[in-house]
Amino acid sequence: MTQFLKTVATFASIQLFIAAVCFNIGKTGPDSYLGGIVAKERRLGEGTEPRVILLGDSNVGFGIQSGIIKDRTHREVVNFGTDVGLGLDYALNAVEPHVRTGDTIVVSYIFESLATDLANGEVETVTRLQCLSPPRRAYFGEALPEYTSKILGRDGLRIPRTFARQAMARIAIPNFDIRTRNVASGFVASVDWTGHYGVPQEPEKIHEFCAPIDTRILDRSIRTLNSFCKSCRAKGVTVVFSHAPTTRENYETNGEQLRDLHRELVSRLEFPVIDEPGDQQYDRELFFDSRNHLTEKGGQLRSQLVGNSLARIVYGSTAPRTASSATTAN
Amino acid sequence: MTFTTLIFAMFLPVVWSLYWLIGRRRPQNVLLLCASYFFYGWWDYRFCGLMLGSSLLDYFIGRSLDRTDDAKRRKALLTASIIANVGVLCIFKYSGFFLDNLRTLTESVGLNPGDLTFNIILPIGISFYTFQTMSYTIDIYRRQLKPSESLIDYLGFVSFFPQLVAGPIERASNLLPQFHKDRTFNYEFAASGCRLLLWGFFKKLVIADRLSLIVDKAYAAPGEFQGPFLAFATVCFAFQIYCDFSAYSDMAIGTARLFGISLMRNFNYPYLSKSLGEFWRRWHISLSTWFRDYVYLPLGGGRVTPTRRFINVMITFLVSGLWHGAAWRFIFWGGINGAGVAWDSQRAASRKARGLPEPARRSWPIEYLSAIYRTGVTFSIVCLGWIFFRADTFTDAFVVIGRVFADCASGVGFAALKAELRGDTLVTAACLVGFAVFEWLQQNKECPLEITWIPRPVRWGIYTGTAWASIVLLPLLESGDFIYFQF
Repeated sequence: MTQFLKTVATFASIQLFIAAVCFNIGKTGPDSYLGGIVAKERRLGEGTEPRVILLGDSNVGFGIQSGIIKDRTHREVVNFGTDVGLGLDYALNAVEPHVRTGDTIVVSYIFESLATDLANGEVETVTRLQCLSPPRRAYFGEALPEYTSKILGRDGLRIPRTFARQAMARIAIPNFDIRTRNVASGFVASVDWTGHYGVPQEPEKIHEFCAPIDTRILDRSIRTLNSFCKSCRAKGVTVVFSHAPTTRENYETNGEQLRDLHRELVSRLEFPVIDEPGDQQYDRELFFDSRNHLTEKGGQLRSQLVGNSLARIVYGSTAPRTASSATTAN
Repeated sequence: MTFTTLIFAMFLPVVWSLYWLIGRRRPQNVLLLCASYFFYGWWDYRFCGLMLGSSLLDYFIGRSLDRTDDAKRRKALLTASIIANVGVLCIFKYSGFFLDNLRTLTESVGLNPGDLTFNIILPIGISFYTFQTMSYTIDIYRRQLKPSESLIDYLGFVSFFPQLVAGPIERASNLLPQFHKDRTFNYEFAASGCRLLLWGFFKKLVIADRLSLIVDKAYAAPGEFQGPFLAFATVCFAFQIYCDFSAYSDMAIGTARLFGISLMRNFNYPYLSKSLGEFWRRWHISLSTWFRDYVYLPLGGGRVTPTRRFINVMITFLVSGLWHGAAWRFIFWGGINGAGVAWDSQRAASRKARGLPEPARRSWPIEYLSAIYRTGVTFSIVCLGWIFFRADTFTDAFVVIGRVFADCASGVGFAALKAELRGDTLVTAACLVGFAVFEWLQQNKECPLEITWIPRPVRWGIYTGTAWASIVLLPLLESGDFIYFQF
């Protein structure tokens, strides 16, 4: 038995050593898209004036240009668009402690972040976040049981896989980080990522797909958003929801599903939805690598659309935007 | 809970440490029993009651069978056990199938059957533990086994967690005595268990799960692909199901060895078989021998007329097909294999009956080529059967067969296959070839990782490489549980 235990301990130590090496080589650097969270959080704590906070997943980071929003609203803008794989709760919980009276928050999540398992966060992305330098804590909120069961199940193996694969890529591919979408080349002062468009995808490779709505997850997402809104309102903050962009083809194929989601949001969210999914459809050529990431030109169009709505909200009129301005912007 | 999860990686060391710390047989058996029910209940605790009920019934029937010599009473007790076990299987596994067929039948004669739906969850592993408890009572009925005196030992035997969910289907005569006697730790035995665990881990995560991506793509809409790709996907499925199921068996046997318990071998390099009969002696051995002992031999086995032998083989394989799944496709799959095995055994019997000598030994190159040819033919027939096993419907299965034969004969679709063989698919194909060659080289070993003749540093390098390959090559997309869980 002692011999067996010694052998197992030696073998396990070798594996742990390899894991530690992989971790050190493969961990996410501060200059990456995910690493940009550090700067985003820092920006949230700066200044005293009311701001516009753009909050959501990568559709915000790669799709709204803070400069245009600032022109329309004359306020400082913080783009807190993060990785979709962090789940719905992360950005909400990260932003909530930093909001102050007079802030306006635009919440924008893609369909999958609200109504599918993506709302619970992806193991790879959450792992990379937690091992950032300096480390970041993932906020799970009500998604914690689902995330825990993922980790305890097969997905737990994705934790070492993330580091091992990233380490191998870093060793094998020169300038690996620069070749990935996540590099910080597009990182601008307002913490947008709209200057960087990665390797453009051919338009026909931008697939049209909507997973079925998981009503249990959608219920929880709406609860989470309402709870966020409630605590923001208590601090004198305005919260609105704006739909994520999508291709015209996707809207044609999955419009019914997107409209179903819209109806649910309008009837159950305790804050206004400032547009409809149909307003946020753009030509495929305006997306660079997925149907949620707009090119610079697409980002401009969307920012004008959102900026117009925000200007009305910031300057007193809370009336939802009209379809005509969307048509102009598109 | 399955072997390839993080929770199992925590569960196993805890149970293992407690088990050897306790050191005495009775508390060890209680621990194994509790651990097994925890393992099973992790999936759905409600079905622990079903397993307990099924086990208790056979325990008490077994004791009653042993106490009485009255033939009628013994027969009645055995019948009650079989009806109860098969009944549970019928309710949980086959009720939907029977009702579907009843609906089709009534509709075909112009009647409206109304709402004939019966939605029920299939308890995981039910086919495995039911067969295990049935073999217990049948063996006692045949006076081949004494009933267990200890209820704990018996319940531990039925629910022993390594093999509970997907086999091997252990015989009471092999496993139960091990619960009755003290276990001592053996280094070599435990080390061989670790090797089996590692190899199973690799087979499931790297080979089976990666192949499933190709197979699922092809079989989701076979009409959209050309013959060569469908043929490739079918070969992939043959290896997927082998690696998936044999991986579970390897990990079950390996885990059991860590506890000083020996389980029967379930796979013996089946794709190296030179006939279908041999294939079934090497594939899912615990089930094949179960059907042999409890279905085929009671029907008369092979010592009957040729026609009757053919019928016996066919009945055995059709029932085996139905065991695998509640659908006609599985029965048809059983039929294909049954016909192949029956033809094999008929040929052998006829040669024997005519007093023909065994074929003369030929020179080694011819012998070698002949072996390759026969292995290839056997593998092709097995793959033909797998098409029905994997396809979602009969129509899909015939589409696959039609396209494979038509396109391959006319040379259509090879360029498309070549185009598909890139990126991840190419990595998967390379893994598959490497795996097949390694298994072929190591076919005389129980576990291909038995490389104890290699110096330890190199050997450990190979083990480490296998472990990390399993993690690094884990497919990005989520794949399902072990295929045989559904049976």
